[in-house]
Amino acid sequence: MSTGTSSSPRTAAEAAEALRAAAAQGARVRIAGHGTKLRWGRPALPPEVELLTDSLAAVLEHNEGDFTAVVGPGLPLAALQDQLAEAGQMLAVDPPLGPTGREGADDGATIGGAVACADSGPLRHRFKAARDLVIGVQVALTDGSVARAGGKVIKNVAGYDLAKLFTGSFGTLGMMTELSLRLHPRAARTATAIAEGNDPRALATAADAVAHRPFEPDCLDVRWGGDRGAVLARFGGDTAGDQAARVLAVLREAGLQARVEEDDDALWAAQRAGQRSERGTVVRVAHTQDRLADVLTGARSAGAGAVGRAGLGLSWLRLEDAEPGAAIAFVQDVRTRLGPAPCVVLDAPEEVRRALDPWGGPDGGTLELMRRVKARFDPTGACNPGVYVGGI
Amino acid sequence: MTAHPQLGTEPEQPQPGAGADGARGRALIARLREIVGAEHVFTHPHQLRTYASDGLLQYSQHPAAAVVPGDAAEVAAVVRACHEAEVPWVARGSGSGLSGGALPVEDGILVALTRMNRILEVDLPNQRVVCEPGVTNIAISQAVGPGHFYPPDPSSQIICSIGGNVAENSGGAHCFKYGFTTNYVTGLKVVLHDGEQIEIGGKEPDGPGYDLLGAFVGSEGTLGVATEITVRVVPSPEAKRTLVAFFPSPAHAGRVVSDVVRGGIIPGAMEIMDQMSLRASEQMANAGWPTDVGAALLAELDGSEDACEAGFERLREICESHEASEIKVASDEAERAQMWHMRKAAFPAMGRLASHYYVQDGVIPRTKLPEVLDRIDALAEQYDLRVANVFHAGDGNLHPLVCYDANQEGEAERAEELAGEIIVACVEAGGSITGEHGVGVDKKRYMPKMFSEADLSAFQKLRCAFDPNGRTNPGKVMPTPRLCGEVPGPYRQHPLEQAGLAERF
Amino acid sequence: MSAPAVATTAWDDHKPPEPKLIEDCVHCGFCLPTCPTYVLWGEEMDSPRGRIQLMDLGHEQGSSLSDEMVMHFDNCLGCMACVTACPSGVQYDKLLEDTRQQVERRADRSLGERLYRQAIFALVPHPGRLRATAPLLALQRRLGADALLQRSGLLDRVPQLRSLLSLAPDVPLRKALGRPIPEHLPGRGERRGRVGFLQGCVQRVFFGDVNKATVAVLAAEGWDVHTPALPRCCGALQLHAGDDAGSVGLAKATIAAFADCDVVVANAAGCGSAMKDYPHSLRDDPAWAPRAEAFAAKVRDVTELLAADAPRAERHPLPLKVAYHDACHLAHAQGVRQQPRDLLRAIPGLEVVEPAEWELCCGSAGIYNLVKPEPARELGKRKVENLWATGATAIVAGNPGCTLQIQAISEAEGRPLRVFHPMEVLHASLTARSLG
Repeated sequence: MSTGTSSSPRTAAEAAEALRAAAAQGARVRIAGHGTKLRWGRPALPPEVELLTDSLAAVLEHNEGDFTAVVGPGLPLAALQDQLAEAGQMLAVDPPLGPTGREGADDGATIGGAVACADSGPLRHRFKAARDLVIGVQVALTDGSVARAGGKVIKNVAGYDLAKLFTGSFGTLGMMTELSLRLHPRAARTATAIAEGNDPRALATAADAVAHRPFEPDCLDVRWGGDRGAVLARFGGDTAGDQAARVLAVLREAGLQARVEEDDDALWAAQRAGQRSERGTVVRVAHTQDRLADVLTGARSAGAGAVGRAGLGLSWLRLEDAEPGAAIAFVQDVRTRLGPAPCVVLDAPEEVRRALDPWGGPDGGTLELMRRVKARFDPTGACNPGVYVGGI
Repeated sequence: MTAHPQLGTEPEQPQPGAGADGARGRALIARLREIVGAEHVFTHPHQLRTYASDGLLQYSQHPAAAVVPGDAAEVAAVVRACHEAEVPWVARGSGSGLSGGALPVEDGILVALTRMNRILEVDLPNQRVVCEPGVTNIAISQAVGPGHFYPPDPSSQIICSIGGNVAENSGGAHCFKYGFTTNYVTGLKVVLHDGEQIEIGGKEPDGPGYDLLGAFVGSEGTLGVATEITVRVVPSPEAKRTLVAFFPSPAHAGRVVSDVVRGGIIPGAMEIMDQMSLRASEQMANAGWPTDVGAALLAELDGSEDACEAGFERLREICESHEASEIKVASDEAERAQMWHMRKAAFPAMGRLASHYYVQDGVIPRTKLPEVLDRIDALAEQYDLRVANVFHAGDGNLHPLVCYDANQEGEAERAEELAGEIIVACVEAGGSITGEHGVGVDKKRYMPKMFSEADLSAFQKLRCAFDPNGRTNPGKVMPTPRLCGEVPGPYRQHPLEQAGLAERF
Repeated sequence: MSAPAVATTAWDDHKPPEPKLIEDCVHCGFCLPTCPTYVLWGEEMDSPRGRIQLMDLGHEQGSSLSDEMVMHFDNCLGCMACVTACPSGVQYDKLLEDTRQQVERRADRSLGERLYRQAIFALVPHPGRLRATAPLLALQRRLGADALLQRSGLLDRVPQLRSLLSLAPDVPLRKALGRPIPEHLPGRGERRGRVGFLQGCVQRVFFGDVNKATVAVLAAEGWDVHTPALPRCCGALQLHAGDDAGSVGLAKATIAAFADCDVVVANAAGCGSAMKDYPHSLRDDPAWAPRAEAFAAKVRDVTELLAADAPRAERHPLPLKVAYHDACHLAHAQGVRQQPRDLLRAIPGLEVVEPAEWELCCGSAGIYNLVKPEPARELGKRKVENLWATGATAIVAGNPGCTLQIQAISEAEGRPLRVFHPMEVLHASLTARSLG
């Protein structure tokens, strides 16, 4: 909760002025969308100024023929996808939209928040991450300036790639006021090949086999819950069903029961939901593909759930109904078992986030370099201070 | 690599003026000889002449010395020595770049990474390759073929280095479907401006903290030099279908591309060549392509057998519906390779038709293709010069080749002016001054057409965070030299935190 | 020839590398990955692109021929792989030919180096003198003199000597001193035409069997073969090494000797390449330039000639797995790659495999392995490794220099390779014999 003023700048210039003023007073600023991820990162001092993206929430351009769009950060992802769907297009960024955010912001995560936290969903397998789909950005900085980087074309190497720098920066460098996005065709039909089993190694082997073959699924996930798991491969387009059927043979080779599910929306909603938790603890692990079996066995022994992008090495482990002490031990165990792969704590009770460093890295020269970047863009440390790696 | 036979071990006299003054320069060069061995330091002007240009001969500058280190430790020591001597330095890969990014600095040191050409690890289970920066782009695909490949494939891939690709965020013909270098780099070991070595990322995705990989790839060697690069490789497509179709004009071919993309097909590659570039390539390779047509469209679909077949049929229909006079389908790998050779060697092949040319790299939104092509035609007529055009049609990345005869009075200047007008036309159409070649020195002057003072100032913030002294490949990217100003202090603890009112870890 | 004009540039005006040809280079770098010295050292000065820059600066006022320039030009093998790779059509062969003779005339070589080069040219292109060394070579082998020299450390201090000794082929005396080929050999069956056959210098002395096989095959295919004893040499080694006076004289003699032949056939890649280049090297001579043009138009490599027509003589099976080695002066300089393969693949039972890195020179490169033994050895090892990797029983190569190099290096590395000329293979098939 904020302890000071809260405003929703209507233009980039207003946002820049607000930042400048706040920085000049040495104030702490929180930049937020719908607040669905405010509990991520390190617990920090409450902000003195809050800048919301509510009034920067329009679709400024939708260039259908070019598959690009320019939007304000405060636009809810769901609303954006609805509008794009009317033209048979989508933004291939599909993270879970909840849990609940700020009071009065019911429609889930905003595009700005998803980008600022580098969140992602199952479509990342084929279409890559947010940082690869944001082709241009406009930002408001604490020196009162408004700057652009990138552009509105997919292919562009002019200047420095500040869009990537701001993606995943948790609002610590400034406020994004406009985002240019690359779009993709939205599949009218989908079908999922799903294979279930209770042996984590078999599941990992099956997922791996699919990942190393030229099937080109839109999504390739694993899940684990209780004592059972599954591998899921989603295809889109006219031949979705046939393509999914071709994967069955590979899945069965690993000794799993496999079938094709044409009505697959619920399956994938569940995959996304597995990345968040209202009251539990979620650890996101970035690992090499060959550790997938370890991830699933780790989930099993901890009694945790897991979902993950099997072809990318990105998994979320989720522990529900645990006392803080147990949750803390869970995170430490995950880090010990799966390290040095980065294990970042996302949703978690406050006690857990205070007891250990949610980020777990980086350190050394790379952290120093990040500090230098922070110092150049936000010299007074006004933007979301203390939330980020190394206490940035 | 074997030792290069040298004239003797006696160091030659260095050129005067290396760095601030002769004595300091001589001391630096002596130190560089200690680090990499005298046989890998070159100071004779004749030898430096060969390092004076990259792929753009119109920019030429001798460095004070050229150094060719053998490993990362030597690179770090060389950079540290330059830092201590306050001498600027420029990193160079294969010198095939088309923006002058590896153009040496006068009185500076040129660091060539060509001896560091080892592939260190091929990890197919995790779909990663770890290599030194001097490895050629194609060598990576060769190392993981035929089951996997490395998708970003610049036309110069037989020689361009992966380190150079990282510096420029290189694309290539297949990037419309597969993406560019920045989408494939998962780890870097970097030597910073003062010789410090850091490691960003590795084989895993999504390291916590700022996306320094994203900031570094495409930073054109101005933030440091990579000494080890980890990239993602992907499964080779099950099937490929390649055709080249001939049309009355580039606009016809462009309409085909629009229809294909609108129809939801994502081809592996779509390239358009106009008549002049077609002729140059045909002269080079004798592939039997007609030279009296307006344009050729080289399109490749790849993916699953079924998707390929279906997509390919659709592609042929679309070609026919837009007045394709002839369609050649590659019936085997040799024919496919020849089609690609015609396209990939198109720039240098132009050397057969024109004594000199400026190669540009403008990008436009694909839907603006017809109007920009018309504008380029009009400009060419206005300037009375020939402009050939080769482009990545899928992503609107044009490569106009402005031809001129340097021996004709004033023609070079006119060509340069025309090239600039074309770039402006691209920016005005909502595009960019460079799609894949980089800004380097060649396009510095056009940066203000695309970016405001505030934008450039923001770029400078990033650059200064990495290199506060501005000696890492200076004179590239930014249109005017800028200082970094006071280094803001190290991250300051908030007073409340300091007072223990908030916990820190 | 009058003395060249006094130069304020590195090049004088007797056949300097032509600026118009230099201008063809757009500095794209496509030649680098295929250049043997760039592959070995990764340094720009020893790449075709870099050497062209050095040629260019030699035209600048005030430039002079530096030791560095000489070294980098000497380092060039002249393999012409860059010509094959270049998209812009740079005629590096012509540029190098002109540059080499400029360097030979104007460079400040050490006395030792000059004497060594003179000795090579006094010996190798003279079959009579070469033949005289054969007994000496046989003797030094018999006595194990090279082992003695090895222990003395002399070979390490003078690598050129090791190179010379190792390259000398183990040719039985009687073969080296055997009977010459008859001057006229009629073709069998319906006459296809009359060819003049160049015996060559090294080929004639050390690979007399190859020449015998060549004329026999030509005759079997219906060609009347005219084999004059002169010229003793076509001048290829001199041409490729920059000995302008030496090569020009031999060029004229060769042109004259074959004046009445419609086709002139070579079975050594270097010779065929040099003869096709006569127009360029004689371009400044108004009396000989047109004769050189006419002559070059009728030069063929023997595989080029034979593959152009339907085969006539019966090919008997030759069950053998061979790896075909592309000699640089055949594949790159003349563009002849397919024809020898076509001839070999028409032999029943013969399996022809391709080594990796076909385009990379074996290091023989004329007299290169004599004057630059270390890189020649590195390249030779690389070539031999690629050849071993094919699993072939024997190697087929169309150039005596390559044959000597591959034999010497493979033997030094402990796994000797047998190397045959395509004509030896074809002759064995035609006569239903196995390969020796």
